[in-house]
Amino acid sequence: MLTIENLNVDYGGIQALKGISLKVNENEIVSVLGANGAGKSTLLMSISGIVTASQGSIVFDGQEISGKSSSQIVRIGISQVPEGREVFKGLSIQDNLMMGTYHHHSKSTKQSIADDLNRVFDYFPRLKERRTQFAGTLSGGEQQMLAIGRGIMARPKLLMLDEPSLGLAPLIIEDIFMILLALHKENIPILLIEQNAKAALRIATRGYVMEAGRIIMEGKASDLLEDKHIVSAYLGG
Amino acid sequence: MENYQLSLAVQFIFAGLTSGSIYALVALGFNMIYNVTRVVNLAQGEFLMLGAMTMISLHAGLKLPMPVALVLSTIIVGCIGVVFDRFIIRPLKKPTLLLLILLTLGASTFLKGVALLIWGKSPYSAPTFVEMKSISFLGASFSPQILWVIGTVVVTSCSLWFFFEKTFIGKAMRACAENPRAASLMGIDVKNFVTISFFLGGAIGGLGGMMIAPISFMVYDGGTMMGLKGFAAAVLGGVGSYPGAVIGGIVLGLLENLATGYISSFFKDTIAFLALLLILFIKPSGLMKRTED
Repeated sequence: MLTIENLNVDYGGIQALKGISLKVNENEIVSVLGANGAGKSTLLMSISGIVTASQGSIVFDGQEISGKSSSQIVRIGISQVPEGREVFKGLSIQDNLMMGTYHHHSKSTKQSIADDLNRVFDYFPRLKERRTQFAGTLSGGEQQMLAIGRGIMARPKLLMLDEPSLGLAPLIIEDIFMILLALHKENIPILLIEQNAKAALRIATRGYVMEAGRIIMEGKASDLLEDKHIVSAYLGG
Repeated sequence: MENYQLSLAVQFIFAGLTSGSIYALVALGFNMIYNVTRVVNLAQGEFLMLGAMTMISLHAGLKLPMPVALVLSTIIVGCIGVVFDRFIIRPLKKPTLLLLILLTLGASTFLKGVALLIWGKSPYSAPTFVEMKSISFLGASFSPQILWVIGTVVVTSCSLWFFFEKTFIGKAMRACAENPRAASLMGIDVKNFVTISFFLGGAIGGLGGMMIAPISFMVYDGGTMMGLKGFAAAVLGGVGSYPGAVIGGIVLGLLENLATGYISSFFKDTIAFLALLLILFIKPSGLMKRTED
């Protein structure tokens, strides 16, 4: 479904990504692990078309998407939940969710959008209670839920999440990862970037490990969880 | 004697409302551009001058009917706003705040220069939009044009409120303003909205100039002081806030005219900047700044 080959990205003279090759198949949750500064976010930003690659190809659904603008890529079906949530704090919760529909808003019926909204509210009942409040009044965990909800509203064929667990309490992280599993059951493939390797590998089908702009290891999530190198470097054991 | 005092007060208040409305229009246009791009546009007053001059040329020079001249000049000044963005703001690789301010200041001088070449140094004026006798109210009398000026502010600010609070596109524009990167991740084409904001910013500024053209004379550099006072009004009301722009403008206009009338005309230009300094000392976020930002 998503195939990245030999992707290179230069960021102000620094080579942030060095020959990344990665795949996400239908019905997979793929986790990309790695320390801060390994290039994980740059990877997502180049898939989303915010950062342009200097070399390499990104093919989605048989279509080359590197070089396309971010709005074209969203329309093609790749939606990103960015690091640090980046919700629109000055808009209400419901309006934030509606912004997710931007690329298909004029083509979709009101009923189908209302159905999507109810689906998001089923996942996150807290958002429904506070739908008219400003997103800036939400806690970190609730903002993360809102950011994911906004991603769902875009009707993605592939959902990418950048560090959804960042700065959240363990219980909330568990909630959020359960919802990712539920989305996966609805046949939305997920590309998940995480520093919280244990949690990420537990829900993932496969995983990649990045270091200094390169992929240094890849494999089935269950194998990675037992790998000695991964355990010592990322799982704190 | 008491009657005289009353009509004098009414006269000052209406004069204040009139100039206040113009400051409000400048401030609305200023906020329009600031909100979407974070550009502090010090050339906003020149949009006002261009609006007045273009309208006068189209009406008096090309003999176009007044409504046509009004609509055309609004569009023309809006397009000047777009050109402003395309050729001055967008080519910047690393737009820093200081660089942007200096550039808009440079652009303001440039626009004045162009206006000087086109219209020369002589002042121009336009006829009132509808021929009417001056209106009398509580012994004070004033030009009917005042109603147009106030009406324009009311219609402009209500439309802006409706657009940004009630329409999907308006909300998307607010999303762009708040977080351009997250907005692009939603598939919102941020650059288009920047263009729209410069168009609207120019058009609103130009509209302000057209409204006062029948009341006061306009010269090639007549927009600068208006622009500065509109900027003061925007800061007074809270930079970025549309209700703040209207309130800031009206408060400034009233202060200015009451101070001129009751104390000394010496205060006419001083009061705006005095108010600007005071608000920056006491409540730098402005009178109406929304707290959720």
